[in-house]
Formats: sequence, C-alpha cells, structure tokens
Amino acid sequence: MSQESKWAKDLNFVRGVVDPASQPHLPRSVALVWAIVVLIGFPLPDFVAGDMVLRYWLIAGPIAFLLCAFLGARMMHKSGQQDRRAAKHQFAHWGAFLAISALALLLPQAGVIDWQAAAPLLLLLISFAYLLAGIHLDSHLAWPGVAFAVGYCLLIYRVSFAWTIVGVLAALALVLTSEIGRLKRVAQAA
Amino acid sequence: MGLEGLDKLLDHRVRLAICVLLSRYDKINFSRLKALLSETDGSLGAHLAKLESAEYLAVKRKFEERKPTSWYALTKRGRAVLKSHANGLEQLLRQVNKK
Repeated sequence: MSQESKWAKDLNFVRGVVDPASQPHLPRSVALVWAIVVLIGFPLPDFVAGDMVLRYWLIAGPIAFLLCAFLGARMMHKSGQQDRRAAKHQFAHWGAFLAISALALLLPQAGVIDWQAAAPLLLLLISFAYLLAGIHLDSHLAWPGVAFAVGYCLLIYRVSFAWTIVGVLAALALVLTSEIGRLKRVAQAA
Repeated sequence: MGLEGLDKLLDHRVRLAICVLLSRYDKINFSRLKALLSETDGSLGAHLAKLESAEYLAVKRKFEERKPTSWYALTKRGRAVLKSHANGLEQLLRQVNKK
C-alpha cells in the first residue's frame, strides 16, 4: 500500500469514528418529561380558567427545565462522553427561550395585548424555538416545532379543543423524535 | 514537505482517532472509546498507555457504581502535538493532490 493511500484510509477511519460520536439526540427521559408537561398543560385552557393555566406553566416550566438539565448531564456522564460545549449550547438555547417567553408574558400583564392573543403568540415562540433547535442542535427537534406551528394555526382558526389537540400532537412529536433518534443510533452502531 | 510536523505516535490510526475524539470532547471513558473504535480491551489499553506515557493524555480513575472507570482527556501537550500533526498531514496531502 502506498503511503498516500495509507493516509487516506487512516483519515477515513478517523472520520468514521468521529461522525457517530457527534450525533446529537434528544434523550428519552428529557422527551418524556416535556411530553408529560405538555400533555397536562396544553389541554388546560380547554377545561379550566386562565389564571390556573398561567400558574401551571410558571411552576411546571422552570421545574421541567431544571430537571431536564440534570437528566441531560446525567445521561451525558452515563454515555461515557462529556461535551461541555454541547451542554452549554443546549442550556443557552432553552434558557434564552424561557427568558424570552417570560418577557412575552409582560405584554398581556401590562395590558398591551389581551391574554387571548398572548396564548397563540407564546405557541408561536415555542414553535420558533423548536424549529431553531432543529437547525442548530438536533434536526429531529424540528418535528415538535412543526406540531406547535400546526397548533398555532388551529388556535387562530378557533378549532374546538385546539389546545388539547396541540398537547397530544406535541407530546407525540416529542416522544417520536426521541425514539426515531434512538433507533437511528442503534442501527448505525449495528 | 511538512514531515517535521508529523508525530510518530499519531502515525497509528487508532491513536490518531483517540486524540481527535478527545480534542472534540472534554472527557471520554474507556468503554465509550472501545465502542467507538471497535477495539479489544487489550489493544485499546495498549494504545492509551502509549499516549498516556507520552503525556498526550491525562487519565482519571474512579469507581462509578462500584465499577472502576477510567476517564481520558487530552493534555495541552497532546492538543499541541495533534494540531501540528494535522497541519503536517494537510500539507502532505496538498502535495499529493498537486501531483
């Protein structure tokens, strides 16, 4: 074998090792936490008063965020591969989304828009956050983004039980996203 | 020709791959390296020992869930050598492509 073809083979080997190691994915535990949170939280406006819904999200949102940060860190450690840069990326993306959502809540709070208009706006922000995550973090995350965007359209056109439909769609999209990513990784490893 | 940048230890593709992986991630444990590189325990252990004794890698041995686990990280020296090796390879491949 010539020296050139040895180098080319070696570099192909290195690429083959590094590529599977850098496949991002949504951990199953994180997907399940958010699936449960949205499955409970999204249908609430169809059945209970608005202030209950707000209270639920102000409590459940940050708790789920911190729980997922913990689960993500634990999963990374268990996988045997620690990537502080990726963890910072994830934390910054979802932390920024939480902060912007909190700021968006000031609009109805200050009376600039009414609560009825604020809800679809928040859904649009969620959809945007997931679509951006699909572009920058993990391509599979675009699917929950699409589910939230569909939910936004259902709300705008006042479809009955729109929030319940969004909740079910989003929970399904989150679980399927995680499972499809996991199955792809298993297939790649085999 | 760039040969002066090439490192003898990194001439082996497994050792090169270990260093490239560790330049991308902060720490990787033995089991994960073994799975990614499809190497046997003995062969991977020998490659890691060579890199460790050349001070390209730092290793932390801990007990996790009652099992001994070794976590590897690239040292400053290892990072510098990898960088110079990659530059050397790049120059060489450029020369080959010119032919």
